[in-house]
Amino acid sequence: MTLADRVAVVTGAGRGIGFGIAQAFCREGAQVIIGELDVDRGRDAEKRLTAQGHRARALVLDVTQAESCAALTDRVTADHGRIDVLVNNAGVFTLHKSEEMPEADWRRQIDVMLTGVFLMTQAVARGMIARGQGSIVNIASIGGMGGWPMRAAYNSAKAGVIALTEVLATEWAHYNIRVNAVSPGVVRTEMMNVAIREGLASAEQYARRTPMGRVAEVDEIADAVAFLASDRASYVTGVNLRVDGGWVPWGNLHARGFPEEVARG
Amino acid sequence: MADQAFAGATVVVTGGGRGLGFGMARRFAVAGAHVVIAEIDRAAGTSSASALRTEGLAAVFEPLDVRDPEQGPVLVEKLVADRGAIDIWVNNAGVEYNGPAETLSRRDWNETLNVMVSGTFFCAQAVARHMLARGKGVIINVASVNAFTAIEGRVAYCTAKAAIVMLTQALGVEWAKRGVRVVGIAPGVVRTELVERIIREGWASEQLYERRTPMHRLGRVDEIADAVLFLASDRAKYITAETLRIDGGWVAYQLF
Repeated sequence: MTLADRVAVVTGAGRGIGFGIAQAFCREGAQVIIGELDVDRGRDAEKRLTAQGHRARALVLDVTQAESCAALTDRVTADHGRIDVLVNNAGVFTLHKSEEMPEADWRRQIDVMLTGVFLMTQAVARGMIARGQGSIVNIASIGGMGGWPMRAAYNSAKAGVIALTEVLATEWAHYNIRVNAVSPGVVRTEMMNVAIREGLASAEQYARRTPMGRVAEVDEIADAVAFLASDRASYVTGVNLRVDGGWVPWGNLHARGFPEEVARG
Repeated sequence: MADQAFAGATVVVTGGGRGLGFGMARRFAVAGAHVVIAEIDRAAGTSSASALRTEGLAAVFEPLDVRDPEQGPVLVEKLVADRGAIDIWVNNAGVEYNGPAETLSRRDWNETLNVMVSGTFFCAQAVARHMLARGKGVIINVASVNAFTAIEGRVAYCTAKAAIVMLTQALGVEWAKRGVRVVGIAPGVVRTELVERIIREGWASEQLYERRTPMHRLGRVDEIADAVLFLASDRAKYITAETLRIDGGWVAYQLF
């Protein structure tokens, strides 16, 4: 039980990687707060976890609104005494050719995944600074470390999160607050299916592009987040841990190129 | 992970006779592993292994000079015969020569790269033949924050450590589909004999290290060992070709 009695807030924990993180934290003994924009989805996640005997509670959260971040923080602090761990996981994802990306789409993704991370962290960190203790894990992405066509907003936000992680880690280390990022590779979630549904990728292509030959399961990301959140990572701060089955370092000599018809000449 | 997460596992730590290497070896042993301290220094290797056995832990010393590519395969063969398998191999053996780049001797340059780059590669190659045949295994390479940030007077060390990061990527990518993970750690400044010597010789001071580190303190050997045990465990089974920094924020910090 590496997170016994820790109070942990996980944003966007209603499904996907966020839910997996909430579940892993519960198993390690934490009291988990599910921050969700979608009330029904949050409540459903809460039910699934409490049915397993875990301590989980859903609260509504819109990370793009500072007041919403403050309200959740105040509520949790009032009811549970403090917040020990914050995981900024909430995300949205769309695919567009950059020359055609609607402004609203760009703004929404930057708003949720970069500004939202900052606002939520700011709200929670004030209490952590006062107590001189805390661990924050940001869910970045291997997309934040390189060029993936048609993902200008998503990848820019994630690259921003990696830089933000480094800034906050160095700025708050002396308060005994650690700030780290995890960059998942392609994970079997609803988000993975967006590109598949649009016919821009297949599950098989993702697997073939990965040196390990398969996409990640949610648990595998959650385990890394749980490690960084715990005291076992007590000297780890400002890092971006890739959990990608070897995706980023692979040179991929036989890539098909983008767009395929142009790459082939 | 603390309890007996590595019960029955055979873990080899090169340069395991002292410093970080010994700290990792001890933690693996506490977690139930049978630890092999592979050391060039017989006295250090023997006394470290017997210190662990005195604690009731399973540890043996095996002589190993990683500069000699013939020795890795011989040790692997012996251990597989003795133990049945090798589960985890930590390439930790290292050397360091401080001095201005313009006068660094060929001997010191070659020795540094020989121990840390070629030594790491040939040990990995030797143990991987066994691990690949078995379809299972974890190789952990010890890099350093100096793989990412250069310090004056340490050109050979920095170069070698950077090479270890790419070696970890190259081997990790190549063996990913065959059950063998290759990962690295990049420790910051940790209070070991090496760091104490650097301070004693006047290359740096403790206050200097503390000021430079966002956490304002040096790392502890057990903090490095914790990260190594995580990476070695199945909790990290989708992590390969990656080097984890354990540096109190050292590399992330880029200001004055």
